[in-house]
Amino acid sequence: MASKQSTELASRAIAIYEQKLRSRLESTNPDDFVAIEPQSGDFFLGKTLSEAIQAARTAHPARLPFALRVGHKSTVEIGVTTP
Amino acid sequence: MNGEVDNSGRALVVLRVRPSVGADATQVTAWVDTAFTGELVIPRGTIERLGLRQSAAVMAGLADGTRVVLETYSCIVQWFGHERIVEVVGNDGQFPLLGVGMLRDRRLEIEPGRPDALIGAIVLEELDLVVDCTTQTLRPREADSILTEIE
Repeated sequence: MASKQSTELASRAIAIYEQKLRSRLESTNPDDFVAIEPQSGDFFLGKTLSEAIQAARTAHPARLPFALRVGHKSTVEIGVTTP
Repeated sequence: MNGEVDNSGRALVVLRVRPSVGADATQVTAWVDTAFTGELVIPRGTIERLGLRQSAAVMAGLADGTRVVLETYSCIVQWFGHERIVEVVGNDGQFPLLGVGMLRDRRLEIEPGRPDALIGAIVLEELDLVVDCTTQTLRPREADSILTEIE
């Protein structure tokens, strides 16, 4: 499915989210999207997936972010209705 | 913006998608899928044909309950008369899906079997048109006229 680069990107970003962001964002920004740029540790919030990713790409044009949805196991659900 | 309902009852919209500003646009027919919580899913083969570049990656929950990492790609979509930058999720599916992320602040109506489009009061107000019931016509509102409503 995804490339090795994307899988590694996911692992690094999820680790940052779990260690530094989860408890904070789940109380302040539930259901928002957050794009994490793992090299800097910077994160960018948005009401849509596009908003969050584009904020990260604007700040770090040469690096790929990984996006999550605050309080959800998956960033997006494709074909299922439960969070 | 109008789409159509096909013989299987699926609501379809035709989108104009381009990889970057000034590039040629390609028409993509997408299913309206309110179970998809992102903005747009496009099969990977179509993404390659469109020439979209990777922008990020996400964790996607699939219909069988599994979760997978998928790449996203930036594109420009013509949406209600404006060009909008959209992060598209690439998958191994067969059909593009338009999700609830594109429907924020919009109203969705699906009416299978209707061959013509309905124009509602909000659209008429935005176009500054007034209904003349006596002649059954639409006419532009006169600039200094007052619009009244009964609620």
